[in-house]
Amino acid sequence: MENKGLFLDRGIVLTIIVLCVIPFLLQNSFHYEIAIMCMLNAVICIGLNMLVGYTGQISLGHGAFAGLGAYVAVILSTTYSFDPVLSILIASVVLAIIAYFISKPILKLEGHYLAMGTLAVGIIISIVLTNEDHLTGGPDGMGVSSFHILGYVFENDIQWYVLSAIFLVFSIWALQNVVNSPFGRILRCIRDSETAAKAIGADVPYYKTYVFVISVVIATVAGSLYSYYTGFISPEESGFMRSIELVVMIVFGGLGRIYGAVIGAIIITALPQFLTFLHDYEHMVFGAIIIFVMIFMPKGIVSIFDVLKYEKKKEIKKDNS
Amino acid sequence: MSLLKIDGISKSFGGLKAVDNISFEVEEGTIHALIGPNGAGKTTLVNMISGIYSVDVGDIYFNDEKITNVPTHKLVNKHIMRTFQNLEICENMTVMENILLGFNINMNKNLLKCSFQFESILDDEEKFTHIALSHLKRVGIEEHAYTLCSDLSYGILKKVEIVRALAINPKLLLLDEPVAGLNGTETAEIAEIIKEIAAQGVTVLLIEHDMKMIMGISDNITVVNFGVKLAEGTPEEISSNPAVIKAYLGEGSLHE
Amino acid sequence: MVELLQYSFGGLTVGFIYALVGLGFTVIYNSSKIINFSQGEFVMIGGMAAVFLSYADFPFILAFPMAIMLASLLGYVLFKLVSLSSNSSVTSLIILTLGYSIFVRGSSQVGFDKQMHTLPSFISDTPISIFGATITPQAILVIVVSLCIVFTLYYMFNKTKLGKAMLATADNKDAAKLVGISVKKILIMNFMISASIAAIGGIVLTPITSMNYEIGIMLGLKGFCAAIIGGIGNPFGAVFGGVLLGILESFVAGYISSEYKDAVAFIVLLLILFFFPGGLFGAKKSTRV
Repeated sequence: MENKGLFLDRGIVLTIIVLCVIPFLLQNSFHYEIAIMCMLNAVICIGLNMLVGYTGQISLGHGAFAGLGAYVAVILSTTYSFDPVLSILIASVVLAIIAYFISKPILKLEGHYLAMGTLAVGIIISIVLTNEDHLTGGPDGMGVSSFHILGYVFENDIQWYVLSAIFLVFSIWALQNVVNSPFGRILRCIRDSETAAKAIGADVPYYKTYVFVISVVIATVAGSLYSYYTGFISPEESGFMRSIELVVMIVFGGLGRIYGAVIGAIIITALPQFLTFLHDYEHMVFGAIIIFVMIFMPKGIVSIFDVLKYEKKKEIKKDNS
Repeated sequence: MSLLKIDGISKSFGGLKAVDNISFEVEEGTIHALIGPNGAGKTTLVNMISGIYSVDVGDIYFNDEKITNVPTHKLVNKHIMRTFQNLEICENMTVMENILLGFNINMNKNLLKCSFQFESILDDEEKFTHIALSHLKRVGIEEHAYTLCSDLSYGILKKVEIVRALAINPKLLLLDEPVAGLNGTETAEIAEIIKEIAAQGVTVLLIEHDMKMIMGISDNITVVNFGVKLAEGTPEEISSNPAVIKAYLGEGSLHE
Repeated sequence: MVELLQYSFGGLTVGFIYALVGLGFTVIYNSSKIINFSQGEFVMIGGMAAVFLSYADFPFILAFPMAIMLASLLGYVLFKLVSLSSNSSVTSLIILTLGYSIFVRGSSQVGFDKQMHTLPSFISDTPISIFGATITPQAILVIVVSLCIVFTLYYMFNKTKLGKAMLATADNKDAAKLVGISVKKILIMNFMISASIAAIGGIVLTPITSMNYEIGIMLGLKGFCAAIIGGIGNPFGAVFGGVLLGILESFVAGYISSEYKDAVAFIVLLLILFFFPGGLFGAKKSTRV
């Protein structure tokens, strides 16, 4: 609405600036790993948010899709020596097809049933990945070949940082455009009232499937990049806890808010790293934080900014009256 | 010329026959009211016409084309729009966004173009926003154009739904209790709006309880009770029909 | 034939645990419409607490009730957390109960430890032979205890005033309040009962499968599958679903592949969701516009 015609709005500019400044604060490889993990998770979350936050379809199985997609890409380039970029492309197509066929029956479900259905699909995928060890290397995982784009090899942290940052900025920008566009409006309409969406001529199942497939493809690309970066992949990445983690990220940050997905991803990714000093208490504290936020900030962390804006509006109104 | 023809349609829910062999026709360019006590089957009927419920028996024709069991979203392409008894508004969106949704079938929704903010998408937005604002002005709510619907009153949202339904200049407009829950002034406003709509050539099928309004603006009335057609005719004919008076009008609502 | 029976016994045993989890889950769902993703953790707490209390030299007769009370307390805490939560959207509550399950698991990790623990069989270790297949007394105990719980709950809900009050609350909270039922007390009881029966299941299961802090995850998930397969909100459905899942799982592990055993519950769940959306015994839904 407001950023009609503006190529880059304030949020994106701020994001780019922050992303340029951060490398000066990162002191070692471990810090870089966290930053890159945060960014790639944020990309997955942006896609997932499109499905869950904007279209109102819960998915508790996205970790599995990200993992499966990564496995396809990684197996192609490592075991069969395909070019990595081509591998990711093929993986995207394969996952798009799988997601398409799964979405047809699954997205007919609603609410809790949809949650359980996606959960079940995710767990089944994860079990298959763990068991088919002749392909996947089994529960111990497998090493991953190096990553290069047209011969340019990505082998140090800075390169990966820049690549991830570019993906992130692009994803934010694209999603922002979609949200305020006719396509995005239909998604939000589906979330608020499927009947209204039908009444204005939208083929609801078509859009649900469309968004589902897109979110899976995004997860595939980001998930694959992450595996190439770490040089390793294991079935953990497709597990139930990973799927839950992704949903926690978007709910924690703020469902249906672009930066909610990003902030949520960053906090949930980075937080455990800072809690390691707590050693075994890490999970307790993590669980407690989730509970706290869900009770007191059910609309997510981003809602703090809403409160601030609302308070400011009240002040302005008071001044004017 | 009858724009809409309902031909012997019936629907049962489990053991209950909600609509039993109802037939009637709606003339083009008229305001046709569908009245009857609560539970008479009116909303079921409208839901069948608009593709939300399936039809057990019978057919529905629009412009002589069979539209029985055509899904709701496809009917929009034929320029059949409707409003809802229980308001189906997108609460988390602004009035403008809801109205823009009304223009949906005329808009370019290509995901790639939307992602990259193509000129064509932006131009469409601007064009339809202007048209939307003028519609909102006509019903007197343009000041709320950028307000979130969850912050607005029921009466205003009823108008928003009507404007949304009018966006693509429908040929047939189904209004399901457009003034339910509104006060006298609001009702009169809506009645005016409906008259204006009809004056511009839109055929209106109107479900309502408010007899004063119905008698005031309808060209033809079909009365249903217990899922069956009771009577049909002009407001004068209906108000003097003994069976209708006994079943419905006699409850004193005529004098509201 | 002996094989079939053997697998059935194994399946029945674990199936009744799924049934207990599913039943507890159903009790909570019926009263509050909440999907409690931490249900499995109550099973784990029951088992782990019983083990550690017995290490601390508490006799079983004290340790077991104490463990059940601990789980029950955790159920109460969950209720408190849920009632504090102002936003009742499906997603928020799912995340809340998930967060709670992570918290409980984390607490178990710290309060107990990460190892596998077991209890000695309560009766004896000698397997009993039935038609050539063997079953341990502990397994029979699991089945018997589970059936007792099911029938006790049945009796309570259908024959006692309290139970009827619970059913009324589940059906329509506001109406229940109007006739003087303390909805809050009922809800608290439901959460605590739900946690307790899960804990009992955990205690009797420990000698058979051993316990560690992570066992709740899969048990919880499979318990939900059981509840949904039986028809969400239908207690008998949950029990039937649990037993069915246990037996199917056992057959698949025995006749097809033990690696894919865990997938059974979820595949069956998907089939039910696609072909019998209300569950095997649930009501068919219809939307009114």
